[in-house]
Amino acid sequence: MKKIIIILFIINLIILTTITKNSTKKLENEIFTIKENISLLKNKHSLVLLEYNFLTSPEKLMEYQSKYFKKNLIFLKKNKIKKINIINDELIINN
Amino acid sequence: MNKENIEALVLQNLKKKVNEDNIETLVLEDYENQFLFEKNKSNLDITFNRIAFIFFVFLIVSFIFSIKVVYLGSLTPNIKKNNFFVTKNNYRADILDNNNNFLVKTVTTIDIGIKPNFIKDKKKLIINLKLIFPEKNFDEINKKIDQKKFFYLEKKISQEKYAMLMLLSDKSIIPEEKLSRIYPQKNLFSHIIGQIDNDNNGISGIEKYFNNELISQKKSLKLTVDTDIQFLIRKELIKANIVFNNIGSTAILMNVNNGEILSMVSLPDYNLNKRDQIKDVNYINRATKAVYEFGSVFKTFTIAAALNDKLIEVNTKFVNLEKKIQCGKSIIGEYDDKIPSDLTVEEILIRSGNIGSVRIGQILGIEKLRDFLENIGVLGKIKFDIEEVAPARKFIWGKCKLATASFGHGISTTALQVAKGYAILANGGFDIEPTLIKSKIDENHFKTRIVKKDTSEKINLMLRKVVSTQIGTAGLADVSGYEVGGKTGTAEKTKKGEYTRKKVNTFVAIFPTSKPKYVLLVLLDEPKTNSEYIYHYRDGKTPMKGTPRNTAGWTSVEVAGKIIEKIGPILATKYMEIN
Repeated sequence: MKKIIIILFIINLIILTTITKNSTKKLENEIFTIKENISLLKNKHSLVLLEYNFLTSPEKLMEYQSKYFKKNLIFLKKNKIKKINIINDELIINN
Repeated sequence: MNKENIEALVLQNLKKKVNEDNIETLVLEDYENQFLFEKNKSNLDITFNRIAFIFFVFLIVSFIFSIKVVYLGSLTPNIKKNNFFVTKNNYRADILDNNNNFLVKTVTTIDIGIKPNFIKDKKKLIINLKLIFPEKNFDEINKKIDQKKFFYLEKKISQEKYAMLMLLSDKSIIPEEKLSRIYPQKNLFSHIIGQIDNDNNGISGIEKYFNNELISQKKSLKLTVDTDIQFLIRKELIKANIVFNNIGSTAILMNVNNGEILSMVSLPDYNLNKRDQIKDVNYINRATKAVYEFGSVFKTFTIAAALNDKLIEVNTKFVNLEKKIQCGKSIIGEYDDKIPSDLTVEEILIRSGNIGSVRIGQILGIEKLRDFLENIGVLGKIKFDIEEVAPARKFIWGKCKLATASFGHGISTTALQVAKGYAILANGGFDIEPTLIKSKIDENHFKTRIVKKDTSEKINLMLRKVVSTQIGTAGLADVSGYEVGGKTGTAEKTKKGEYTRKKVNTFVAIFPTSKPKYVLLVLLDEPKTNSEYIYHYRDGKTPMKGTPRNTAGWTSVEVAGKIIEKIGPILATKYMEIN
């Protein structure tokens, strides 16, 4: 009887190991795929950022301004700059 | 015994037997040949010994090799780090500005080469390539294929074209992955960033100075520079080049408290994306590499040195100052005859008096002036984050050198070193190291005091008066709201030791003078007067047409004023420091 129990126990362990190994393998595959996708997305993101940096570079913005707007840009004078403070959910505007 | 003898012996035995038995039957008996059996037995012994011997030899050889392998494995590698190694590394870190915008981005590009030896069907390949690259000259490609040597069909191809080429599955098409540096800001940071060669090694600027870090660190290198500010300053310098027709110019904007460089422009510059080989000396980095005599800008240092040693006070009066003094062969005079002969120290700085500065220099003496200039980093070689810095210069000091150095002649340095000197004088006297690297900022904050606090305060007040008073030389930079202070410097350029009529006009501004935060240096190399340019005075006086004199007050100061007007709101809002 003891022998049968031990054999059954070992068989059980073998089956469990196989199942665990299979599911781990699946997880590993999923992790690998996700990692690959993340690296692809990161790459894509940095390229989009590069494009954004190029398109929003000061030189380009000035080019668009002169192309699409009739009025010239004016620089802001120091005394026109207001300082906004938020104290107790209230906006306080200082000169 | 040979074979014939054996046969004869057998026949003899048989005859004997027939005769003895007298019968007619012939009986054949088994004959045992002992000779052959013994020979085989001996052969077996020899083969075994041979195998044992060969096995033994192999064992010895493998034992020797094992000992050698264990010995080599136990050795610690002795690889020396070399800054100038050539490597085709597949990585180079990006470079970002202060606001995390890309200044340099590494992208992987694919070059397509053709190996003619692997071509199976030339006609088919050419037809396919014509479909993908219809704009190419295929007569030339045919010739190259016939030469049977590897050649590049197209460099940096798009992903679409790469996919189409791969679908051809032709072994003669060889794709090669390469690193490519993209500079979205084109010319804007050319002198700061520098270039790399085809082997992915930096050859100038930050690319060279931080070559190892860029290759090995898997992290972007963040700089202190601000793209928007850099653009605005560069734009104003380009305008100045048109107005004053100068051969080059430079501007440096630095935080006086930590040496953080927000902008450093040197004109002319170049587009980094074109990867041109720059050989023209006019493309020198005027901020860090080119050395100039800065003229009256040095008077601030002379006065600060004397104030620091308590040899003079702001109100110390110098009376009966000569209009001209002779030193050796050269004559030292005032740039303006209207300068009075009785001047206080403050008036000497505000009115930029040469003779007064010489007198202060003479009170100081050679050692004190030289030591002060060395301490604040104006003389000697500066430690900086790019390779292109001027080497240390040696000067033979004497009475005349002391006199001329007191008002900034006969002594040369770089624009960056002058900016550093002014930053130290403005920040309360603390030593700083100018830097372009963001991570260095914290360690650079207020290290040691090298100039007394009250000297710094006195200098700041006097510099403000240079800009804010009627008698000052820099009224055109008195931009409302920024408390600009500064000092002008007009120097003549030398050629082969002789002074020429070509000028170097500099203005070093600090703002706001009540609590200095920034130093801005503007230098125009060989500016000319412009009779058509209209000056708008900042105090509301009637505008004036034409440059009256080729001095810093009418050129560099005007440019610096325009720059502060443009960048001021960014500094006041983005950096929240000017209140």
